[in-house]
Amino acid sequence: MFDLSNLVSTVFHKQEVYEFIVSLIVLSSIIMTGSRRLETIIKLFALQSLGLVIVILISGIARHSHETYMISGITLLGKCILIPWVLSLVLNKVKIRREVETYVALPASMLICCGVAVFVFYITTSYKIASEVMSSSLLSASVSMILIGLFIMMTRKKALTQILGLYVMENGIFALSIDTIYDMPLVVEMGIFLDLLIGAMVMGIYVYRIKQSFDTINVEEMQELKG
Amino acid sequence: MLLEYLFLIPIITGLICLIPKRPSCIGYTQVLGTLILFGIGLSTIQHTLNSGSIYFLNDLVYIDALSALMIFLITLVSLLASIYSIGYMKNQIEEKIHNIWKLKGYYLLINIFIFTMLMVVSTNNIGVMWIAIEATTLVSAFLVGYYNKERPVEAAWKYIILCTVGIAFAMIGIILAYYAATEVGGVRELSLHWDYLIHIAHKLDPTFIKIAFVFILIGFGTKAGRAPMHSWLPDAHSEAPTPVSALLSGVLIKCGIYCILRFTVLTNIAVGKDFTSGLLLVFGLLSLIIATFFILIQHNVKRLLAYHSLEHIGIITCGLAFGTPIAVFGALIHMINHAMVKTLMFFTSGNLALKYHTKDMTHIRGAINVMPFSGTALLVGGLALAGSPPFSIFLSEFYILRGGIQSHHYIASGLFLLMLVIVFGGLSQHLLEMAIGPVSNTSGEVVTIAKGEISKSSLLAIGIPLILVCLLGFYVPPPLFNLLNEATKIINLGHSL
Repeated sequence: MFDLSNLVSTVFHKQEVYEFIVSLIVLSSIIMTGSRRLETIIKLFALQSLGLVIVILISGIARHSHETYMISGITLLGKCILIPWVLSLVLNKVKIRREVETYVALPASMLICCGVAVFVFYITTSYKIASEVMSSSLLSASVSMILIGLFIMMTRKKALTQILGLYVMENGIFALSIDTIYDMPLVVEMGIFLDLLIGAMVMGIYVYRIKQSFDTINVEEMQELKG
Repeated sequence: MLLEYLFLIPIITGLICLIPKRPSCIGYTQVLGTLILFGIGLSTIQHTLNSGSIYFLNDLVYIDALSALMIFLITLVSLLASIYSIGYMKNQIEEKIHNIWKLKGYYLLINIFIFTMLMVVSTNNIGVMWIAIEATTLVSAFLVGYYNKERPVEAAWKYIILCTVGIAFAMIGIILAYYAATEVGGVRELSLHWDYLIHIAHKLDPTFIKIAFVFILIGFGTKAGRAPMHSWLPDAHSEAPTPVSALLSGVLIKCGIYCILRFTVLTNIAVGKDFTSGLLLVFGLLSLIIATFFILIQHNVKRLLAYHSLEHIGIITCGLAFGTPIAVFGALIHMINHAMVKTLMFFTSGNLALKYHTKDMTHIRGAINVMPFSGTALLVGGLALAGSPPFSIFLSEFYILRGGIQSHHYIASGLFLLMLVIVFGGLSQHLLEMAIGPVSNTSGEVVTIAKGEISKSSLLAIGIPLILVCLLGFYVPPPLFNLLNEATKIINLGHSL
């Protein structure tokens, strides 16, 4: 009989493919910090999520876990298709394609995020959270993604980019959960999936409302409420 | 057992509210629905007191005394907010601020909001609790931005972004706690369940639980509106429709506190009390100090009340930090007292804002003459809110202070008392000026505003908490007292009888 896990363990014996995908995930978030076009950022987010789906699949095959297949399916549907689709819809509605001004210049923010990633990888190699299946590079990747997501949220002015920063952070947390606890119970994963999807819609609607009320989606224009 | 209806009724009510064509009809349906809900909440309390914790739906729902206390709060405040909504929404329709479809949407959302909050406090699974808390944010974001103008949209945006990021941090805490549980050989299917986690808490790795607690404290602390993550709170509270402000301030931020409380119990068993006590004390006092400063300089009456919620979150946190049984008891009863007083105050100030067409306190003067009932309620409620005896808030603050001195936190107790005194002065000045004092417009001329209340339903919605605020200062009904005692035991020992 064809044994999938055997195949996987031979193919990924040196975990090179796995490491390659993890590094792609980190790289995609770093490129996000350097891109001006909102559409590119959305596409990068979808790509990054696809990388995560592959990572979960590999870990699921290695552990013979059927729940993991379900979870990777849900993630594929939600993060690679539905959420990017919702955000692109919003993008077409508000008709804003580029982010001209940022608080930190884009090349500089890319450099900073590279530095953050290197620092995190340097630090986390000394803390080995036991992970029998995979190497600890995913842990470093997840922490750097959380930080980069926060960085995007802080340095960008467009409301839509802030949402994407939030989802990069969310992807980081998701990667953390794959690395440490493999998966949550299915009920919880489904609930989180629903929350993220509804969250994308709600935030998308608000981006549209901000555009209508303020005629811009720059969050720094919103300064009515103080004190 | 009526428990399944606790979750069904908000959904059913929300759907039924879509049918009628007359606004008042929708309002009465909502009141009826929440009244039944309140009844079921009371029967749940009765059941937990008589026969212990309730397990339900494959152990997904777990209700002990602490959950029952929260269910009592949620159902009671929902009922009051529904009663108040009748008059408030009628006024808004008369002033052509919205139409019947927006009204139906409002009632549907408010019911889903109640449903999600009930889910937060009654689930056994931390993951489901996280999902429910996130859902409260998503639903109430539409309620906060209900008026769809510049200020409400800004408030809703801040609210949704800050809370979502905060709750994402809480997720990291949950993942770490789950990891710690599976690491010591916990059953994977059960390791997200409160009762199981408490059961194995003494085995958990203290380092992981410590890190998890910090993330949880920051994450759910954002939802609780605790300083320094509070900046969404005054915006959301001041821009939302008044009944929603009451729900946000009365119960939603307490759901955040509830989540932290559950984790505090876990951490106390795994790590020891000193760790949580120190962290909670720092955040509690910080909230108190920041709130005091903003209360003194505030002009907008709803923002004033919102900062006052921040102060009370600080007070409750300090009570939990002191950790002696009497302080915890005080903190729990303070949750009820604060919910009542804050509901009362939001409703009266909402009435005033409708009457004077402004939220600026410098333009609201002589409320007692213009609106005899609301004005009096403002005065009495203001005194109660500031913490003057013989009202209930004085009692709970006194308990907390006593707990602080018992546990030898002298400096913290001193700071706590100092802040309370300053707030007492600042708040009484603001509210006394609003209640009495000449009615005048911006240029200082004396103007007359037609006498009369906004609506009869608002009188009822103000009357009930007013009676409770006065009553709870002297007399706590025995079932409530038992419930509070049981909940205190859960927090101090980790389990009930």
